[in-house]
Amino acid sequence: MKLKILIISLFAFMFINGQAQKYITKTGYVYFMSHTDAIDIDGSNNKVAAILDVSNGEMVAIVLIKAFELPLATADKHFNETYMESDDHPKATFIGKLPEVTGLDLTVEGEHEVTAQGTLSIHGKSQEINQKVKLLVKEGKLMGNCDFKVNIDDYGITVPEDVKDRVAKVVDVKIKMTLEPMKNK
Amino acid sequence: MAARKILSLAILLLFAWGMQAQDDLEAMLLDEMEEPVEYTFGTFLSTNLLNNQSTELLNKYGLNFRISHKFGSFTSGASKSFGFDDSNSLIAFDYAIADWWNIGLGRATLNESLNGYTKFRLLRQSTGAKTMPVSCVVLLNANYKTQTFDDEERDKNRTDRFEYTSQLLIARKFGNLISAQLSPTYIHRNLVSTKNDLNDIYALGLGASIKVEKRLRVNLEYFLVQKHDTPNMKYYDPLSLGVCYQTSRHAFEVFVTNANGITENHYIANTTHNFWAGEVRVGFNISTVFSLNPKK
Repeated sequence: MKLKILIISLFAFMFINGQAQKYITKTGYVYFMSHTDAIDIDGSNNKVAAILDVSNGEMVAIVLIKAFELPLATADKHFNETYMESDDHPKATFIGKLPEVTGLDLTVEGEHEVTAQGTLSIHGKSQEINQKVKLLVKEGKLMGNCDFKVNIDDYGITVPEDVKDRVAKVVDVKIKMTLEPMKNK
Repeated sequence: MAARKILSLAILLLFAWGMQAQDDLEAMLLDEMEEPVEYTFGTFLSTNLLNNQSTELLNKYGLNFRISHKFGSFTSGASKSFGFDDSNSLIAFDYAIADWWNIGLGRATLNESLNGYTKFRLLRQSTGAKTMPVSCVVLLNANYKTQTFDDEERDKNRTDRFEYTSQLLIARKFGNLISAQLSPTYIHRNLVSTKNDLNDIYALGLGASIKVEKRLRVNLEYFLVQKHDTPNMKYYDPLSLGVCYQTSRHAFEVFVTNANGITENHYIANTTHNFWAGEVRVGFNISTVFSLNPKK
């Protein structure tokens, strides 16, 4: 009898574990700004996909490089062809953890500061990162907000000699995403 | 004992399931993501192949200032510095009303003409959720001679000064190294020099661009032109061979060609030099892109 209860509760746990533990978005926003005295080059992408498993804090985010929109004329071509080489490296990813998330009560609305730890891969190169993220719990959704800097050298992005003063070595990146509870299919 | 076995199996299962869920987070996300439409970028480096326009367009608010220049033929001899004494040029502005629609206005020294065009994209090469094997752009060009004609009747006539070129530019980027372009062309000239000259000329342009380095390509261009020789004049197909180099906002094309004209109606229909007889000249285009985006 005891065993039966145990097994049932185990399966029940598995079942619960599979539900509403994951938050997802497909319309996350990422913005970058390369500021130099000569020229500001920026771009944005609102098709960032991310998933967060709040049961263990695991997180994966995927940014499709070709989905960036650059308002400067011909900049998108340079961005894709010369710098990001998006035919060879079509996406940037973050695979890691938000460990503090497991300790949060996500049923209560509020603002938290958590850390994102993991591997950021851009242009086929990976770097370990540790980054503060503002997390707002509102109406059952998780709104993540994060500003950081990317040193393009770290990701093997090279700038031709003659345009060195037009492309920033350190690019400012802003990320905003609203993750909603994932519905099981 | 059986009970304990089942229990440990269940725990093992649960554990394995938990592990799998973590590993599969990325797969799960990929599964949720809709397949994107991946547009092809950089089929050509600039809006021009060499003489011919390419399927590349400026992005919205882009303003391109372009100077095209051609020297005289090498065969003109030492007294003319092998052609470098002669020149003709085109100064033009191109503007992007939309990402898919560019217009341009220029002034060519040859025939003292004004050259206007509109260029719009019908199809854009893409893979992924939408597969499109080629990019397709329409180029409509009108060339207006402003020169003074000695014949008063001829000089008064305005409509006869127009020559029109319509082109369908069809291009495909093959992998990362080679791009090719087909340019079916129709030229209509309102007035031609003699009765023996054709008013309508058809041509087919063949172009290729080969990547040497990220921002350097070798470009080739040939036009197969409908025969339109007259008893006094023999016309040749224009053949051009050159390189295209690009910096952040400048593009340069330097090439050798047997065509003298710069505007479409001229270099396609009025090439009177034979490439294979060495009657070639050096030509170059320089363009600078500005952005007139009010948000910048």
